[in-house]
Amino acid sequence: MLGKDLGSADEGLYPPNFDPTYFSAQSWADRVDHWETDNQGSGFSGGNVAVIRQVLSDPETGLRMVVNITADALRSFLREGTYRNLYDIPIVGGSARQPSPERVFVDSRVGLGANTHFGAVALGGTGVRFYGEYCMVIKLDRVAADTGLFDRDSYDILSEPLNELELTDEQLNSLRGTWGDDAVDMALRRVLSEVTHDVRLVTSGTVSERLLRDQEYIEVHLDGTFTPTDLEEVRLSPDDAAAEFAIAERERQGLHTTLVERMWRQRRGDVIQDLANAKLPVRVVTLHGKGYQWK
Amino acid sequence: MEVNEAPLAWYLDAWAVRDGVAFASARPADSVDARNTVFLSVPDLQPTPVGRITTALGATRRGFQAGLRDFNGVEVAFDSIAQVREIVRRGYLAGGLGPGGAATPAFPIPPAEPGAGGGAYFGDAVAGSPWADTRWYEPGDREFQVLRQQVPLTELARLVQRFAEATVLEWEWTLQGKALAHDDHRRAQWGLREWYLTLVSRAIWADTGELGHFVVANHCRIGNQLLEGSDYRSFNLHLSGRLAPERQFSDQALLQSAPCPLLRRWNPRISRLIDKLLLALSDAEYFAHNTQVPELIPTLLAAVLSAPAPPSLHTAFGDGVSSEEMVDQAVGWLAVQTPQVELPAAAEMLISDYAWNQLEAPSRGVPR
Repeated sequence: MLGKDLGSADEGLYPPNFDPTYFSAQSWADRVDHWETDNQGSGFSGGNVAVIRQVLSDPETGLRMVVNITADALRSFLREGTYRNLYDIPIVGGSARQPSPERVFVDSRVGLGANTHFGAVALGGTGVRFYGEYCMVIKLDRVAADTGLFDRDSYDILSEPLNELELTDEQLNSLRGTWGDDAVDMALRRVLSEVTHDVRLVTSGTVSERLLRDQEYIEVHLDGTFTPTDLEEVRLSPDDAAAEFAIAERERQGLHTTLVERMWRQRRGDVIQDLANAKLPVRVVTLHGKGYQWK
Repeated sequence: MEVNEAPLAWYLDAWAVRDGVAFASARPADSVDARNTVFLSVPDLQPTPVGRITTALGATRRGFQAGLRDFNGVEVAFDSIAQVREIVRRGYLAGGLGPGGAATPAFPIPPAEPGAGGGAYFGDAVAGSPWADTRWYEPGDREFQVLRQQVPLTELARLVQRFAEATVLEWEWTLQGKALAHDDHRRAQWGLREWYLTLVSRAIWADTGELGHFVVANHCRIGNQLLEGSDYRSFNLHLSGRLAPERQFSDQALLQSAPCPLLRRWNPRISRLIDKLLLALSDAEYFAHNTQVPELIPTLLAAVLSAPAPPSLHTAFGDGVSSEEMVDQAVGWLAVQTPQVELPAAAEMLISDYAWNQLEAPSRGVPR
């Protein structure tokens, strides 16, 4: 287990203005225990730890690796049968004369290779929608136990305040984990800081929303690629479904639509057809829990 | 807000060209020191603040191209978010072009041979037009005022009708040959039926006599099947929604599948009707290179099929919108769809090259 038993929380791994119970050399499980000890005074903290752990751990409905993908890339993936996440040659224009120094730096510090494929840890929901409107859910048994995790977007080490620290290997290790050993505790620790514990127990919808919000997520580093048969399902956002319906309705009423809108709507239909041909389940969902599942 | 901050140019950080999704930042060139980072995505392309450029950098690990550079590796600077939005929009449209484009056809129809088949049929219509050599476009005339002043709507409607008929003929003749595999043939046949219906709904033919004459004179097998036991009124009722849920293809899918008949001098790599529309909407110089009336007509037909057109039962009673009104609406629609925002010269060149390369680079001497 990466980062396990490396020391106690009070050794000052990070500067004092960082939460020492989170930015710690302890294992993620110990960090959860530490948080629980520190928050015993909050009436629902113990109950919340139990509830959240149960929700995250359920093999049927719990944590998954998700990969967001755009429509054209998804169609290409289904056609070619292998997921690729790198396009070294630009589609429009020329290439940089040298590789991006930021990328070289992050890859080298975080230990990422050309065969690393990126995803996010999610409980329900539609993933990191910035990276594509289609959220591919990877089957649990396809994510190896030693699959790497990073507690944030690895590019965030370029941003303040982490970029000012000249992160040591030990500091970086404290942000890492593996799917098999740490996924639940990393997720649990992340969510615990984000919910209140004085009033009531949290729901699975809240857990889902706190675990992955916009571009705040736990990054998954899958070694190797995957195929359409490795997908459990593909999730769509109700926001996009509503936009699609609104455009269709404007078309039906004879109101103005742009060619971009018409092409976008048509391509969504094409994607649904491709997914049906591939016999992949498709669902429109918001977060998690009863009331969040659309069909 | 700091008052004395010098304005920074905008740069694309990450761009999924064919999907119309991008991140852009106000920052120095070749730097991640961004003052502001936004996310844009079709269909609305409204800039959304992201808060940190690292999210954009992460996109380059997920199939987005890293920024936009010229062929010397220099990052292309934009003066405004409006320009960024415009290049993302035009990149999305251009990405649909060509045989490998993202605007995939519902079934394959072989490319037309320039000057033959439907192209010859349209060529005859052009030869009879007093406006065939009229220069209808002047650079900067974004409202198409010159077109409206120089060419009567009745003539535009006549040429649009002839070109629509040319697409039908290409389609009919393809189905009479053996170019398509069984499933594709069946789907293309369904598609042609719905193409007829779509054209009728857009008042391409004034009445049933006109359509019937065309179908009979040109031995249109599918057209004849449609008209057998039918009259124009029931044909229209059929269109007006009663059987709409049973359609196999949307108007957009048909537009992405319909063939593009070609006059003798036209670029032979243009194979679908939508290619003509996408070129006009993604390459700001397209009409500057195609200033004569016949070259506009395929784009105008595609615009007729894309412009607002309320489905109306009244059409069935001879009280619908005329073809001239349809063309007029299409010209208005086209005027707001063609490039409205001028891009930096390097960006204009790159997006134009991309659009034409989508069709595969035309050989030397082939006109744009």
